[in-house]
Amino acid sequence: MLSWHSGFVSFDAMFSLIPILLLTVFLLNIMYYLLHDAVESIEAQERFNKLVLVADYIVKRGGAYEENKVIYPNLIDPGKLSGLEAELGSKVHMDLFIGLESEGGIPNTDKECIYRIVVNHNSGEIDRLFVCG
Amino acid sequence: MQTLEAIISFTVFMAFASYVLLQIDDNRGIDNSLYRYQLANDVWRVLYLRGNFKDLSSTSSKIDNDISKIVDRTGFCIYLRGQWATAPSDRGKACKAKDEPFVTVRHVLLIDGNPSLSTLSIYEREK
Repeated sequence: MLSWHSGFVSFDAMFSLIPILLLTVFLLNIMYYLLHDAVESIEAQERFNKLVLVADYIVKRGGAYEENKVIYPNLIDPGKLSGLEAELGSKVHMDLFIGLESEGGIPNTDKECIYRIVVNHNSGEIDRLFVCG
Repeated sequence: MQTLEAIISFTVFMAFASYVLLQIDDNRGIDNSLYRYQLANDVWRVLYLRGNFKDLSSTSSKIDNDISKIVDRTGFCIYLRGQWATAPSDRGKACKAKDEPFVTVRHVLLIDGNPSLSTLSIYEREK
């Protein structure tokens, strides 16, 4: 009689364990998804911030036309752009592409790109400076 | 009785699961607010470098041409000093833009020797 009751208790415990396990698996999956999503989102934001930073540096200093120690922001000297990819890429740990639309066109790449509106010093025309990485 | 318990438990579980899943915000985009301001200031700076703020008379079409070039390159609608600036073919018509500006910047300009607050707004085109 006693063992018959104990069998029922075991069955009861077993059936209650199944939903607990299912619930645990569900929660773990949700947590994994949330974590993965957050990491991806932060990485994308970080990559974008780096591109914005690099583009701003080029527009205001690195690629800006300079005359008599006066720097002209947004007036880009195409000659100063060569070498910046390697120099800045190593600093932000990215494989960068930097170029003016009129000189190299829009890069055919699956990299993320941003652009800044500038004036090409050589031609004096409005141009776009692309920074991809 | 046990069926009722099971139904209640299942309902509570489904409510909890729905709540958790609804908390996942899938509209989180990249924060580009700084980049927007940079773009707006680029437009302003480029217009300045091209000498557009030397002559701000309403008959001057140079500033319109330059803004049109920027509009062509960026695909944005640019609104300066209270008048829509669009491509030459669209001049006089409002650029079909979204209601809220993408970004707005204000700068002081000297117009006929008097300082005047001028607004430059950039709008995304309506699709």
